[in-house]
Amino acid sequence: MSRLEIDQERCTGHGRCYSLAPSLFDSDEFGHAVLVPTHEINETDAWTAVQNCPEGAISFEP
Amino acid sequence: MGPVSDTAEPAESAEPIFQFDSLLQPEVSKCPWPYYKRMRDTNPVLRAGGDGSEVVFIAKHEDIDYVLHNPKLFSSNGDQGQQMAPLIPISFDPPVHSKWRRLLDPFFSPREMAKLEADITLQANELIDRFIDRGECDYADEYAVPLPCSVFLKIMGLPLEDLDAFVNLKDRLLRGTGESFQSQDEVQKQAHEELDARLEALLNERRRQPQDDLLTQLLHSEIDGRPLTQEELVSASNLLFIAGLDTVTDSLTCFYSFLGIHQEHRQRIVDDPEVIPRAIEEMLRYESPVTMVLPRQVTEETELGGCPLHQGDRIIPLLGSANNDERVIDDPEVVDFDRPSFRHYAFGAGVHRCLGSHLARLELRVSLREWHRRIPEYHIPEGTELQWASLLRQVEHLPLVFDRVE
Repeated sequence: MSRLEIDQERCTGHGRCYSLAPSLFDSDEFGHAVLVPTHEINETDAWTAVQNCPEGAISFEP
Repeated sequence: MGPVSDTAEPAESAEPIFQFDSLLQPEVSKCPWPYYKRMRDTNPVLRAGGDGSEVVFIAKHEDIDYVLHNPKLFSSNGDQGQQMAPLIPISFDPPVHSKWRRLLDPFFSPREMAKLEADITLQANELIDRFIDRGECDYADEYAVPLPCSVFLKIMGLPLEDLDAFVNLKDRLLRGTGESFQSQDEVQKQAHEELDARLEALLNERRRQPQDDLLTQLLHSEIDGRPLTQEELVSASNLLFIAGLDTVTDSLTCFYSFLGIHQEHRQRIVDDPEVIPRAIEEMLRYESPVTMVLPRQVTEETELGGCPLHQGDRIIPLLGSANNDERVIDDPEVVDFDRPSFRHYAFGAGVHRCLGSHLARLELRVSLREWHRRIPEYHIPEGTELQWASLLRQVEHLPLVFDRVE
């Protein structure tokens, strides 16, 4: 079972994840990232988000 | 894809040495990459005023990452030697800072910004209408300055007919006499007072007659369960003004001075408009129009990269250097719109991440899209010597010529 997580302590709302991988991430009213409930995690999108987060706030275990 | 860009060594010295006021030199602003690289390689933690100086530049991505993510050790509290009133929210550390950001972030969230897209598109096209028939323009004066400034004035609720006066005020505020960046000079102090007075008058007007704008929204906001004081309102609006009025202009002139020379990159955007968001990220990384963030004050004896830092030292992270650090990015001197990923710091990082980054990205995206749709082929006339302003890298006049295709 793969696992995708956002560390809310680290997220400061750059919004790279929900711009680049909108199937997995959305923004809350502050512009911080939240996960989109999904059954299947697209691995490419997940890694894109991990690699572009300036805060290193996203972790993914395929 | 894409050729190596022309990061030529500065003309006068093959071995550029980063000195205290190097960042104020137009030739460094024009071509900062060799200075950044030399600094990373030889003095990545540089007490630039010599021994005894409190100002320390840092150049490596790793060190900048560490400083921006450790506000307890590297504090933003207070005026950081700039001799001006602390500005909300940038002159505060968590947890006070967090409260201000929770109040301000929703005004600049991507969802709020998306509502502005149609209007920004309209404004961009109105500007292009004014010069497209001429086949040439001063991109800075006729597009890169008025577009973001009018967008911003509208959001804030500042009178659009005063655009020129506000632009002038902004230039005095940010650049002053241009002789020092350590503390405010007289021109800057005066401009600050002028802006505060204008903002106070406008806030009083909004109190009597609310409008659909940010000043009115701030008036009706609460912090700790109480309305903001007049002082807090002026401080927050003042910072929004300083931060909002210049940086997109800087970015646009950096981008178009690059695209006006690098025809392959320009053509890529014309042929494949889908690449625009990635082109923006890559040009933000490479150009890093905002070269540094405000100093962080060291709160206790520590060290960075083996160099001792003392309490009270003021650390200046050079974002442009971090974004071009070959230790963390392959071929940083290549502008590659297809770069798979990079955690660039063009908008800073950590808790002080640029509040307006979502607005900036929207303005840049709409600008590039509308311009290239209507003016796909353009270049900088041969023999043009561009004048670069420093710290916030900006081309002051950017002549572009183009064939009319519409």
